[in-house]
Amino acid sequence: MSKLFLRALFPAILAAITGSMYAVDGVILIDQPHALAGGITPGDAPGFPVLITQSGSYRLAGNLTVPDENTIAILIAAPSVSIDLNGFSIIGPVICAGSPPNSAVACAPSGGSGQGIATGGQGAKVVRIFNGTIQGMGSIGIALQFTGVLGDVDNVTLFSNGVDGVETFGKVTKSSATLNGRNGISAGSVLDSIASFNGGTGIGVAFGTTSNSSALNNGGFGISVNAGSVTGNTAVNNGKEGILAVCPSSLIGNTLLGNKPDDTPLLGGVSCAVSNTSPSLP
Amino acid sequence: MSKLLLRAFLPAILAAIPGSLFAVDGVVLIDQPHALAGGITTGDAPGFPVTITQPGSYKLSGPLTIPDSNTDAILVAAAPVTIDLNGFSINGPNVCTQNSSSAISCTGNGNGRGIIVNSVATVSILNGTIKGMGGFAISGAGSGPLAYIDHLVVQSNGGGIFTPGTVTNTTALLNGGDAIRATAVRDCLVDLNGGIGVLVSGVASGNTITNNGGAGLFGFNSALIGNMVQGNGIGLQAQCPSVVFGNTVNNNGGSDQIQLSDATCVANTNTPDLTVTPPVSMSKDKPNSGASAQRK
Repeated sequence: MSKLFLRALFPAILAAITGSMYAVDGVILIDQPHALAGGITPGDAPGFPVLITQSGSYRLAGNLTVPDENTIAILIAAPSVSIDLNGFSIIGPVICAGSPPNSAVACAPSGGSGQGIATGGQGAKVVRIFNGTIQGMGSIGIALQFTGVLGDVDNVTLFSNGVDGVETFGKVTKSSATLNGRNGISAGSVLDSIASFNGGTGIGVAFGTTSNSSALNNGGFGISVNAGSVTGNTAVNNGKEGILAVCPSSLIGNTLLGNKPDDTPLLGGVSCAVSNTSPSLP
Repeated sequence: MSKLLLRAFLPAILAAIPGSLFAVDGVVLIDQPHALAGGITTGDAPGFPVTITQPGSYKLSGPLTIPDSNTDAILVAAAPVTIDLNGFSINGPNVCTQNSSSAISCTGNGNGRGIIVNSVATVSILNGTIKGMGGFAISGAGSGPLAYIDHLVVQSNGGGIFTPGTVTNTTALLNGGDAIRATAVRDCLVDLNGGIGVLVSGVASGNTITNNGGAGLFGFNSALIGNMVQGNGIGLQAQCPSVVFGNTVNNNGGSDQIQLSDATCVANTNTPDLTVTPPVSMSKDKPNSGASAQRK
């Protein structure tokens, strides 16, 4: 048997040896063949979504490609789940184009309901997703925005999803959201991240902090905050104000440039603390 | 033999399969023997460049050594793709040094690049070194904000990184031409390059940019914030409108430390807070990928 043949068969050999997709460190591996076969966890039917019903650590061992814009790739139904995308991608068919704020973002096919990784509703869950890309989903790349779900996202690229890049009440760190149909990143806190060329708001935060992040060329607000803190960010060339803040919020040390109609933060209320936000202060 | 027992022996079994291209977790491994053999992905011919035609996750499992300064190492023709250099290096024969007149000169005059991104969507490149290429270490042909580059060292290449995208936590040292051209550049160290240190069309923040032959920091309609710009041929230049805040700009060539193209730029809280508004002649379309430049 040739080396090349062995190499080609290697993942299958590995799966056959283990009986399921376990890495040597006990992490459960997920790839397209096993997603289609089902049985990743008990109750996981063949095909998408991959249903995770057991708490644990999961890792992609290949790209996952969903067949259409209405399909969810991974649905989490267990209390504590970590998903390492392992440099791989979850890929859907949606392609978004546009150059905001000069031209709107349009995605096709539009109106899809598919999500890359979702919890499917409220419930006590702790989720961590990291190290990969989610692109082309019909709706939201990562959808964890439900009561009781604490979802953290780290080092993930969210690109060309039909609605939003990521929605979560948890933290988004070292991630990028680009050319999504509506908003880039909506989270409890956002750190060291970039949202650019999204159709709506670049970065949105409620009751948390946005720091050391950038919102560039988004169609809507650069950064929006509701009763939170916006510190040390840049908002450049967005279609609406660089920062929209619902008071009480604090805006400290941010830089605004080329936003519409100007670079003055738009404040909802009078109890916001604004200092050293440049170039113009309200 | 039980599955449990087989799992226990799995590492040994894996090691016994010769020259596997796959890591245990499905990541495609690339090393010199497999690069020379070809077949990393469909259509990848033997030798360099390694051509990536399939979306996925790729990782170096050893250094890659390029035979001459005109050879490309890796060509990315698919997306999304992640290339984890995994602490290894892509090595070419080019050697750049600072000569007696303080210019940066390189031994190779080739155009071989470390990684070429010809795809039209997201590509991430991280965790390693690209050294000694005749042309740019990383060159992107796309027109959008597509590449995400983190924790690299690019050293002694004809040029550093030229891509629409984001570059973070990266060191560019002793490259013959421009060091980093990108949309956003953060927390990078850029020293002793022959051309421009950092050129952005979005954001540059938290960078240390020193001893480069051309402008240290060059911004097109950008936010330039909190950078150290020191000892370069020219200090900081901005095509307006731009905002220039909190930068330390000193000991650069010429009498002007911060040059703004017109009065629509906003600059303050820089150290020293000296700005002029001469007609700044700028072209971001002609990157310098190898010409040596005289430093101050």
